[in-house]
Amino acid sequence: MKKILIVEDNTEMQKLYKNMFRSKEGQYGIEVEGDARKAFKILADKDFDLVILDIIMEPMDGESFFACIREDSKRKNIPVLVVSVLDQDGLDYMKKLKKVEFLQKPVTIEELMEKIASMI
Amino acid sequence: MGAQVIFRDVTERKQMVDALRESEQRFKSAVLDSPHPVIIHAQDGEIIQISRSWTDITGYTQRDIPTVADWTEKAYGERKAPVRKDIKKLYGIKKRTHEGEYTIKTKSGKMRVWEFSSAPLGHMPDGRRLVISIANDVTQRKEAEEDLRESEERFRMIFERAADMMFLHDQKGNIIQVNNNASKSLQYSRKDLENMTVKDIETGFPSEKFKDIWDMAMISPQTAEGVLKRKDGTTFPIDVNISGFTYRGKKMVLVMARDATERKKLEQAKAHLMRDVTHGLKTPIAISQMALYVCKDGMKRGDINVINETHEIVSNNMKMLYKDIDNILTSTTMDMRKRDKAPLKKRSSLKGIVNGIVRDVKKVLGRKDIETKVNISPKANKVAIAPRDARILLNCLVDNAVKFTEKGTIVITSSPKNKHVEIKVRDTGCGISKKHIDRIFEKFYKRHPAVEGSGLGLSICKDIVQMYNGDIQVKSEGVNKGTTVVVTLPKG
Repeated sequence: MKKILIVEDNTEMQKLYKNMFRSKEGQYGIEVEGDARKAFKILADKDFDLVILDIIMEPMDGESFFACIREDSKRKNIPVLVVSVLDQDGLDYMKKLKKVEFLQKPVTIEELMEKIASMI
Repeated sequence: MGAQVIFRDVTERKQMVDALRESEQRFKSAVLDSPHPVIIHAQDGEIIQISRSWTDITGYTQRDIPTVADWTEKAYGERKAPVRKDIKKLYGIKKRTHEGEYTIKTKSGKMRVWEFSSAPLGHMPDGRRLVISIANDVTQRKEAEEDLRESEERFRMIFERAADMMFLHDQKGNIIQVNNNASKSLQYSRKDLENMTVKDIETGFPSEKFKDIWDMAMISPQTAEGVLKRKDGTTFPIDVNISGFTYRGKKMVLVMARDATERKKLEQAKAHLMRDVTHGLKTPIAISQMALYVCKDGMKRGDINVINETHEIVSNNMKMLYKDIDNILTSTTMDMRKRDKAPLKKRSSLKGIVNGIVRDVKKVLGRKDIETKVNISPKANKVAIAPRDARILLNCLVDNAVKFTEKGTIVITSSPKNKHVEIKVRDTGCGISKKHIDRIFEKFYKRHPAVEGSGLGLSICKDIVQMYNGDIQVKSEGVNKGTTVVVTLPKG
């Protein structure tokens, strides 16, 4: 089973993610965290196959979180799927990096699952 | 024989006298019809003759000014003494002399500038010395010179005092003149800059295109963006206005450059603001849309819990979106109302409005552990404000209190204060740090883009309160120490 860490601070979005993965329970194991700082610590303790990342969050936003994991030798190779309401134009530098993919909200369950399958 | 000689002598003499008379006549008419003002005056001050042009320009006939004293009195008034002294000296001259410029006053009161030259003209039969003075009326030339001087002075002043950096250069880019601002901003002395070329200081504009834009500037003024390099190597963005003109046959370029650092910063801030505002509006729509996808999936599986949950999510987000759009509209109409300044003679009863708002809030408070307390003093129930505005104001304040409090108490009180009513909305929520409190009334300002809402609520509240000559203050001891909003409104 592949393990996915979802970093998303909106509680309603968290509920939606949980429901989206409900039918994939045997395939993916998900963990949801609303505070990116805590998510960073979770990544240190456990191994994940993919991180789903929101961008506009507080207190630590998705871009800072991303920069932190990319600078960390242990976690820098983990694939990241950015799912944000922002369009990708503002995230140019991230686009250039390997193992980063983007989806703009709203996303369907199918789009999300397809993208994840292509990444891990 | 002798008689013949005498007769010849007489004839010759007559011929000489005739010739002399003719010559005198010619001289007289030359003086009389001279295009320049001419005066012949005698040592004792008698004016023997003036030219017609003298009369034409001054308005004085020879009868008006029989003597130099009359002339100087009329033409120079109080300034006559030094002029008389100058004229007196003329009776001693042996050759032509140039006296310089004198400003005279004509009969009609206009001032003219005359440049005088004089020459000795021998003696009268009675022995008085004669002087001829010729004037050149240079009034127009002087005026043109003065105009030019003034216009140059004006140009210099504009050039020098302009808030912009000013550069004057030729078509090859050789800098001819700069103003103080340019020298200060670029850290070079004027002398240094005036020995440099545009290419030495401009690093943003493609240098191969300089010639094109300078040529175009000869036809019409051009605007462009560029980057200037200071002496220390640092650079800054500029907005420039370039105009070309021909001066004494040479093509010149005048460049006005303005530091664009602040403008660029503002533009960036505006772009961020737009990003945040659109993000705020797009988020509830995106979440609702995703909730509908999940709902459909739940329906397929017959999962009633998922259907209920997603229904609630959609409903909440639509309410939020409605409120945000409503706020944007209210804020826009508020701008118009502020401009109109229509007299508002309305009253509201706080008790009814506050209780209504609290009732509505309780319905949606379900998942939060918040207690609400209302204490409206009977002496501070009526306020001089339209009920609709009172509802918008209090709704926003209570809404904020709920939004930023997870657990605790929200207290709404009103009490009389002189001719005013003081309303307080106090919560035990997350509070506000000092750096945010100063900007909290700015339109669209949010502590963080992730915070829900349009960022307009408090700016609307401030507009309303100010419209009714009231006051609004936000106080917080700091993060996690709760917030109190104090509104003062006139009693109703």
